[in-house]
Amino acid sequence: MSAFLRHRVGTGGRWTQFFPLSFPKKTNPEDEDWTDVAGAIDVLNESRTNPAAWRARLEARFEVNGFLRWLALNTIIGNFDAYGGLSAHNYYLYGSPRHRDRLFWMAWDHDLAFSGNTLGGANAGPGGGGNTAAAGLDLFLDSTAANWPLIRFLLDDPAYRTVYRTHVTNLLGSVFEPGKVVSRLRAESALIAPFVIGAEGEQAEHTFVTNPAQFTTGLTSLETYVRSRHTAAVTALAVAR
Amino acid sequence: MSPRRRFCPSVLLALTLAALVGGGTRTEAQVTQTGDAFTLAAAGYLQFDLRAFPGWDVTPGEGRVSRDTVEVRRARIGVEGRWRRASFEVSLDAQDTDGKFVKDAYLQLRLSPRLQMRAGQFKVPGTRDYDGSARNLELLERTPLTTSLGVGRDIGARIDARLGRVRYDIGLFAGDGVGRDDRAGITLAGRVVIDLPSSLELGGSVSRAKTKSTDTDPANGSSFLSTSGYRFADGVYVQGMRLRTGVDLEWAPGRWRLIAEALRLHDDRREQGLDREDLPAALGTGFSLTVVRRLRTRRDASGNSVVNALLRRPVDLAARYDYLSVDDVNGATVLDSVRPRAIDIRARATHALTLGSTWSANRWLKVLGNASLEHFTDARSAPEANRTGAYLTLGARLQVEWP
Repeated sequence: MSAFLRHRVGTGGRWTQFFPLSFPKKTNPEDEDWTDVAGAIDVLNESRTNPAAWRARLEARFEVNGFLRWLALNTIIGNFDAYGGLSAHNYYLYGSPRHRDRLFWMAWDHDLAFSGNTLGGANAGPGGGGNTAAAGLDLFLDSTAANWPLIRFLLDDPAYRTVYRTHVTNLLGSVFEPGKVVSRLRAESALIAPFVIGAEGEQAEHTFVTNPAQFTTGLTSLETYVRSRHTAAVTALAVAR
Repeated sequence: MSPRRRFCPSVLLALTLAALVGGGTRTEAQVTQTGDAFTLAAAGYLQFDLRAFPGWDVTPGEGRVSRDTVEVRRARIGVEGRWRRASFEVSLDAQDTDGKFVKDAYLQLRLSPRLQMRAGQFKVPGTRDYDGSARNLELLERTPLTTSLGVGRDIGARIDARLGRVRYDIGLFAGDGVGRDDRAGITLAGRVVIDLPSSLELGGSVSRAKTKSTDTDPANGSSFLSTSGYRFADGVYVQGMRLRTGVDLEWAPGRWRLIAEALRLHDDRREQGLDREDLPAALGTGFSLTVVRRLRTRRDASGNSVVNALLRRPVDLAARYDYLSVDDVNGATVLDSVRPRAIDIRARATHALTLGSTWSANRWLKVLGNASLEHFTDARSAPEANRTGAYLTLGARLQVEWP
């Protein structure tokens, strides 16, 4: 049995309503079968008067925990070009026959991360501007409207909100721990530096780096961003309901 | 599906040599001790196939087409023994594609002239088509109903009996096809055949088994393969009772043979819904009609023409119509699906017409040729999605037998 993978495009990707054209299939397109995606969207938008039943039905169709973990990290790192942000795009859904046919969330295209224009607010200017405001970081995405139901409905649910909080806490202490991230940024920067600036660096007509100092200050900005973002997230976590 | 074994030239060479040498010295393959009636005989055969899929937009031998353009289809070797009321058989096949190196390994006791008991690994009682040896097929492949819906070999015990014109066998097995992804658990199976006047035989078969699915394993329901070996429907997850019911008929007046067979596979899908709810049972249905005509052997045909040379040996002409479908027991809805936990399994079927001939060049060499036209009712599941119309498959087989 082959797996099913879809790339989402268009407003149908918000999960408010199912539209086949919003989910062009990347594998097995000849099957023309979207029953799994349609079913998950239907259940997401079902009545939540019985939260336990709603959660059980949703989790039978969609790997919620993985989505919440991605959402937590996406919010922390400030990736605006994703579900709930710039547009309902930049994700695939993977339908896994060996996980009782559940859908898995697979995000991609994170190149606009570490910007201040984030999901959750806290504007700091594009390009890792570094001055992320601690105040105003909407860590739990309370300002996100119901036309992003995967965020709104899940984070309005006390049980899922707790899971999300746990993910945020764990991520802040692990993959987004400033010391680790800065160390990694410096290592990667050192790795690519000879091929970006200097004698072996990028050619003038084929680069976005206008001068060597820009590359160096870019690293500094990223480090500042990571530290301030971490501080902002810890602060927001402490005061959030 | 089990991993396919690829064409192995060394096996081909070894078996061909063995067959050619053995075919000429048949008595050396048998050990006979007439005093206590102990006999031991070796046998084997090799099937070397060539196939073509003209106009198909798929890669043979991979993915959804199980058969390759060049392959050793079977390379079987075995030994049979008999002593007083006991007999045994062991046969091996390094090339067969169903994942079993050991095909048969059983001991049989003749309890009376009308009653025998067999234990070990062997064919579970099933369709007429499957009951026969792959060595004696009229066409390159068995019917799709046998391949997709039928039982396989398994470990167990069975009783064969005869009551007047009625022959029957019934057995209890550990499963319904060892080595298969869709193998069920304990299986009770039986087959009955009634010999009627005018060379007519009526048969029927039933098997009943329990299935149990495992979430992290591949789907344990049957996949559906057309005559060419193209998989037009994947298996779904099944759990509960598996019931096969089949009927068949063979009529052999003179040089003609007419064989009709139908088989239905009913697979429960208890707790297989996404919310662990019961789903409508999966249903597979197959039908085949075969007509075989043996041409008159013209031993007196003289001259060097190809036709005369051919007619000096037996030639069988065969035509077969096959139908195979998959659905569920409920009616169609707008939510039909090919997913392994589909609430409404999308109805799909294939029709195929195959023409073939078999020429027995001598007692150890046989040549088969086939041409098959297939049609798929759901164009989305056809080899080239949304291309309606017929799909042609051509095939040839060189079979070396011993003895």
